[in-house]
Amino acid sequence: MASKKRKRKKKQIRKSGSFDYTMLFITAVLIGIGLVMIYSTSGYASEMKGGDSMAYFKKQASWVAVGFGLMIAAYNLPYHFWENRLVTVGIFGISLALILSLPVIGTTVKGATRWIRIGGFSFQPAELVKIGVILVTAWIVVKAQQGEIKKFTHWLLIIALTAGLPFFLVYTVSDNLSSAIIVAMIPLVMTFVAYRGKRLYLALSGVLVAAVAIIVKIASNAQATGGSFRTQRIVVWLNPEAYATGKGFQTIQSLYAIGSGGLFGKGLGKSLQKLGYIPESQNDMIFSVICEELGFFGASLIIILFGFLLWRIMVTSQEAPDVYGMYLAIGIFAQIATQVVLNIAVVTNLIPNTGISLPFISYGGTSVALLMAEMGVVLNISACADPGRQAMSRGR
Amino acid sequence: MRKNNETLSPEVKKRRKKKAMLRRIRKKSAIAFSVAFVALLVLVVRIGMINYTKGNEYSKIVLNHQSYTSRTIASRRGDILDRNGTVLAYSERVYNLILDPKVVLSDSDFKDPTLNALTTYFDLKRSDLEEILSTRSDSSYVRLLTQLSKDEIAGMKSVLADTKNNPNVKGVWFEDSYLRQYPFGTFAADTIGFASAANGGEIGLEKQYNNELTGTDGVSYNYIDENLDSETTTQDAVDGKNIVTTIDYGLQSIIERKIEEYNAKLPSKNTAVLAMDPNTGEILAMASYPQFDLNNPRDLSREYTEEQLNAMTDEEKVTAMYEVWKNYAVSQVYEPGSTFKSITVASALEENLVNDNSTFFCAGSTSIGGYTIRCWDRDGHGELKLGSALGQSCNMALVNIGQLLGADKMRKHQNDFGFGSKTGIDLPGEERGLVKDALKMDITDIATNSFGQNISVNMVQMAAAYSSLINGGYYYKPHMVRAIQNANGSIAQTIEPTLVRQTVTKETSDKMREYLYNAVEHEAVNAIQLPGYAIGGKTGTAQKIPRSEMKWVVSCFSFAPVDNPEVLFYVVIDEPDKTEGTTATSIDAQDLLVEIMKEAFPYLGIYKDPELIKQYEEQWGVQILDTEDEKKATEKQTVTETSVEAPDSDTEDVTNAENEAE
Repeated sequence: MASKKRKRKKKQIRKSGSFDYTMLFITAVLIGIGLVMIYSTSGYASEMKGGDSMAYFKKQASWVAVGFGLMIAAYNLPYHFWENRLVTVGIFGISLALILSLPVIGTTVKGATRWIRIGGFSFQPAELVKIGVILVTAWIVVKAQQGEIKKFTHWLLIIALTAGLPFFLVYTVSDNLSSAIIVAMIPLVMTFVAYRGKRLYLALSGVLVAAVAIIVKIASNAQATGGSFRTQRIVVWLNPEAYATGKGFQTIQSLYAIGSGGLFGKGLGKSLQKLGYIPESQNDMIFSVICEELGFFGASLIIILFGFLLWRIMVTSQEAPDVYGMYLAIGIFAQIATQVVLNIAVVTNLIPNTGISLPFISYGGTSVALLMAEMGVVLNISACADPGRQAMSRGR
Repeated sequence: MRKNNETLSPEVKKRRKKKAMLRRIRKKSAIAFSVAFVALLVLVVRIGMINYTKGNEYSKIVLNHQSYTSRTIASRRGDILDRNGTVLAYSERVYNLILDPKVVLSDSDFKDPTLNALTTYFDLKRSDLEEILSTRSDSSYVRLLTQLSKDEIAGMKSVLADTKNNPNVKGVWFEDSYLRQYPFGTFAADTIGFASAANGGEIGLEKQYNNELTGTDGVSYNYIDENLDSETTTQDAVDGKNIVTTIDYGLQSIIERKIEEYNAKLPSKNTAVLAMDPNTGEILAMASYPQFDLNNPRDLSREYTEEQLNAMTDEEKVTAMYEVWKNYAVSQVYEPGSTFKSITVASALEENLVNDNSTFFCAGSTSIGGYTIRCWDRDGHGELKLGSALGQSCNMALVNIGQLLGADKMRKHQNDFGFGSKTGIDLPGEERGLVKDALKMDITDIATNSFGQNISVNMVQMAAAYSSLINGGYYYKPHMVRAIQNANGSIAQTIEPTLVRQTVTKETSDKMREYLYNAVEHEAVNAIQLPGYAIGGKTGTAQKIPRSEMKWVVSCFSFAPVDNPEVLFYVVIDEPDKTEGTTATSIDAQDLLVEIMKEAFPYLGIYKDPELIKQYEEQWGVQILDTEDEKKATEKQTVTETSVEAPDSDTEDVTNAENEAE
């Protein structure tokens, strides 16, 4: 019986469905926009520093090439490869080990030790933790559901292991709150989908809302000059204009960029704000330059593209041939959705300034290469989908 | 397939459960997507709102960023040179250390390395810097130190340049600046004047020629051109022009040294000496005592003791400073006294009212308009010819000449000689003095004016008038600057002597030179006689107002050589030491002048005439040793001789309406 089941399972996960060209196309468009915008935003600054105006573009393009290789490999690899205990626990373990080893082997860039340098490339282990978390959560949740884990405390344990531990390590060791938030959000979304009841997540949301309210309350009484580094960020967030020449500079300049873009923008490459006003505008603040150069329509179009991409990943999850595929897709969905929403929310000053990059678009090699690998996995899940369900969900 | 699977499954219960679970997962993931979708929608709305509500405002702000950086490039203030190119004032490049707290605080990693570097390379306290960072955190410009030399900033500069090893040293830069330096400190202090960074030239030539000396600061802009490329345009600083003064460093130094020596012995209220080229109106030297240090002009410790300074209010200190800074030669007016008699005599000669053979009788005093006017020689000079009347400085004779002239003619000639109006010398703060209107002059005014009382003048007016008197009648506008140079030293403008008018005919001028030569050789001014030199001169002793205080201004003119004067000296001592009393003599002025001339003539290339030495020996019955080796000893000897043998020259007792009405 058991062997029969395993056989069936193996039969199931062949690429029986159709290839999701739409998803590949959207991904490619987003990466293309990213490369163009990186050139646009960084060209001036790197030329001013006496360097090659194409420097950032070239670096990112080479990472995109690496990412493309990873994507093809991931697509051709049956996704159940990842369900292997050794692979899952291995990647999760290695990624956390790399985080732990950062103080020893990491390179410090601008005061933050978040990178490991191998040859000419810098690698950010926090990006790998995101994948590790997706894999381990999908694996554990499937195991849990097979064993019919219903006990509330067990779920709490699962959440603590998949969300709490990586969050703690990434936050404390690499002092990177933004990555830690993403790392925690992924298993939270995944377990939310997997968990049967509603109360746990209602309670969690309640706690979260209360925590945010308290932080805001405390911070609004504090001054931007006193208090900790993070409290200051919140004070500045609440009233960026008051700190426009100081800590609110980046935020307010980002708002200036967005506001000055108008409906259709100033045209590609014509941002004024990137000329020294938004520091390192190819990174986390790249979306504000997009708003300035491409306007409200261009920015909306990119958000729609992200929405569409998320929709496709969502559908892939719905059509997945088995629960593991579903969770894997949900995990990737969670990562991209959280990063997109939080990044744009920062840029538009809806939440305090924290360094979250915009997937596929922001400058950052590890991020784009691994995201492309993840898209390869999603494409593989999609290709293995049940054609019947595919036809159903696509209204055929 | 799934259908197969389901139908093949024997356990319906489990199948249903699984179905329910899948449905639940799909439902929940749909919820997750919906949340993300709503969030994205909110973001789109937010972007739209920013554009809609703040679009115009932000667009304008961003447009203002177009020329987004500009930096001032300091220009160099021009030099002030003496007539031979000696630098009297120059600007030295220095650097100001600027801290940008905003940048330092922009990243928590910047603060420590930056403060460490600052405290390592400069004499700064960390606690002070911390205080600046906390109190001026919004500022971008805090001047920490000023006037640092290139060497002093070298260490910090290399740290800033080495961005590889010091990536977190931020928000520190050096501003170019210039420091005005006066290499000779007190030299010609109130003539050269000084300049401050804030206002430019404050007094003296620095103020007068501020426009020429001041350059135009340059600017370096970074802006965005039409193609949206960043362009850097630099408008270079245009350095200020140099001014070449007429001052002769060597001559001025001699004069200042002599003034210093004199006042060390007998401190006066003011001592001022003017040296002029009578043929051009160029001021060769203009010195006055008390002096001050141009490098530290607000330091009053030369003039006042510490206790005095502590007792002074700020206002009193400012008044005291202006008093010290006052250029006596142009800003102080006084009654000239007997030196003015030459003007009266020349005027009468011009009008053909007198000649060589005119005789005057002096009984010691006379009564004019109800007042008694006395001659300095109470016993009276008896009968005097015109030349002797001037040479003996007889008040009675001059009163007679004044009466011959009358108010109109006297006033007309005073006008021609430039009294009552500014000479227009290129120095600030010239006072023009008080001259009575001809219609208002009564008989007493005419009498007192004739010997230089009841009329006030400044030194430059007197020197310019005397120059015309001895150079053939040409009144040149006195001036301080002969050329203006571009910063690279090329000549931008040459200032030629300006001939204003003819004051007297050549005949009158020749006659005046003769009279004034005789005054030194044979009459009352022989204290300034120097063996071997043909010197003309005239002294003056004037009582200051109020007359009751019995304070005096003594003065003495000289020029040489008599036949073709190359230089004219004018010494004025205001309130010489121990001169209070009913009488005073101009001997102090004469002694100072002799000291100056003895060194100045050889310096100026005016050499002794052996014939004149012989004459001198015969006149005084002494032997002058004049070999080069014994020159100094000789000079010393002659000084003693002259001062011993010279008769007390001219002492006047002026009485007028103010105190001795009859």
